[in-house]
Amino acid sequence: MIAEIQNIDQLVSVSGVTLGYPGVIALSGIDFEVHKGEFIGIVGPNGSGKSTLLKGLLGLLPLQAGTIHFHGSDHQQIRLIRKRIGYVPQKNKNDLQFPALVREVVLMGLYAQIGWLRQPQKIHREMALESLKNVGMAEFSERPIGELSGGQQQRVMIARALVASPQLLLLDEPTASVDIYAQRAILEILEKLNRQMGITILMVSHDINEIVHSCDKILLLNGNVNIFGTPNQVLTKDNLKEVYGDRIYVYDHHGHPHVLVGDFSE
Amino acid sequence: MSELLAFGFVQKGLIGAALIGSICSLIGVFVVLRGMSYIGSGIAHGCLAGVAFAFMMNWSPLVMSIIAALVMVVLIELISRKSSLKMDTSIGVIFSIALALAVLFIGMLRKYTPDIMSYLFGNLLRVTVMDLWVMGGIGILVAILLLLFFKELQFSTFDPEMAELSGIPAALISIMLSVLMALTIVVSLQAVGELLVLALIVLPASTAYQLTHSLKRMMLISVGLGVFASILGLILAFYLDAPTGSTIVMILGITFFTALGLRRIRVQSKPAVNSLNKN
Repeated sequence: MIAEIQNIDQLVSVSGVTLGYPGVIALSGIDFEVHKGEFIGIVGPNGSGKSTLLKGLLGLLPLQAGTIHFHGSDHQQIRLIRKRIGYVPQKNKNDLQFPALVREVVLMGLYAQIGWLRQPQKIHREMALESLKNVGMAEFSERPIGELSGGQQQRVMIARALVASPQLLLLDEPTASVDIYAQRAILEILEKLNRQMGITILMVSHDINEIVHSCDKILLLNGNVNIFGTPNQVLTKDNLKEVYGDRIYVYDHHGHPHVLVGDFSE
Repeated sequence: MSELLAFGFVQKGLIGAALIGSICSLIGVFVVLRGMSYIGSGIAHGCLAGVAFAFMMNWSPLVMSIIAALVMVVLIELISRKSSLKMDTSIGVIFSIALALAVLFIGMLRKYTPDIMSYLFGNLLRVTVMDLWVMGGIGILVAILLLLFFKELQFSTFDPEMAELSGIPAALISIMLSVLMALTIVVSLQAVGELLVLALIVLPASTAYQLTHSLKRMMLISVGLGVFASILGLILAFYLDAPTGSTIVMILGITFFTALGLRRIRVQSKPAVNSLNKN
């Protein structure tokens, strides 16, 4: 079924989605929309279903209820849709001591496009280098992936997700387990990709304060609770208490909400 | 040396050494990078059951060991995919049963069969012209498939989840690799024996891994080492009157520890990088 496109800029429409694993419902009644060029942050406590939602969007988990439409196409056509989505998984899932140079890792993002029994050509190598330039890693193209720091490796993974020119970039906690300098560098790159190159971004993060300045909208998740809107609409004390519990405090920091956990007097 | 080459069985042994050395060390690169050594060990034990059954029934040991190896691959894949058991547990279950079957079949043989011993310990100097043809055929098949699917193998070895997501059938590639490994083990059995075939698969690739950061170069170094150690091992075994399989593995063991030492020296002599520049 092809959904009626309400807005030409609408890229993803998630409506009443329930996701889970055999015998367990992780998320239910999820509704939100993503428009072209938006930077959306998905936040929530551990086990709130953030990564599960990304798996659902990628078609790695079947929908138990609801619908997802990507640019008007039904989610059943996930194999076609996936080619238009770039994905950066959580760090350190793969063997980063693998014998590969940085440019070879980025080139892997084009392998499906290149096709079976064909070898990468000059144009593909140029695309890989261009993608590395976009994340500020071109000078590292000839370095082994295992010799880079955690933050640099994560930037290479972003370059790999970008190399096939996706319409949507999904990132699962790209700044987890890297130091604060690397976190800032990664966020600056994502902001540049979003603001200057118009790439639509959907990013999971465990740290609200880290992404609140970068995001146009926030999806606050916890099981069957999902609150979606601008950071100022979503990150209110009542909403955060509903998701994180009582020991939460929100104050205004230069027009942006800033969240603290602990016992604070009002 | 020239008097050595005058013997027909030595000539066949040397060709066999070069073939086995190259096939095992080529497939070994992906076995090492994917952590599949234990599957290799399981398949090798499974082959012995096939060989013992073949001797019992008076059938071809080669055909029966191929069937046994492929049955092992299918059963290991099926159990690990269809049950909640981890891969190493399913390998442990299947290879214990296969080994028990091998012992059972050997016990059921009413007469002493020295050929069974050659499948356990191997002897390169006993390879026949027919063995060489089979080794050559399997070697060409392995080399062609690894080269044709190089980029798919590279991606699905480095990051199977992302490879699958991008449209590369990582599970199918994994099964193809298991089948190629099974065939490699089968054709190497008579030459190096069930107990040492895994060493010939794992050691050259592990040594090459210490020496390079490029997958293509790792494949080249691994094959070079595999061929070098197999030929040198055969010659030394001839002069020292030692078992060929163990001589080859001892040479590979020495090269492995040398490479490990070289890598440690290289890592320690690298200048420290300023962490502020490593974001």
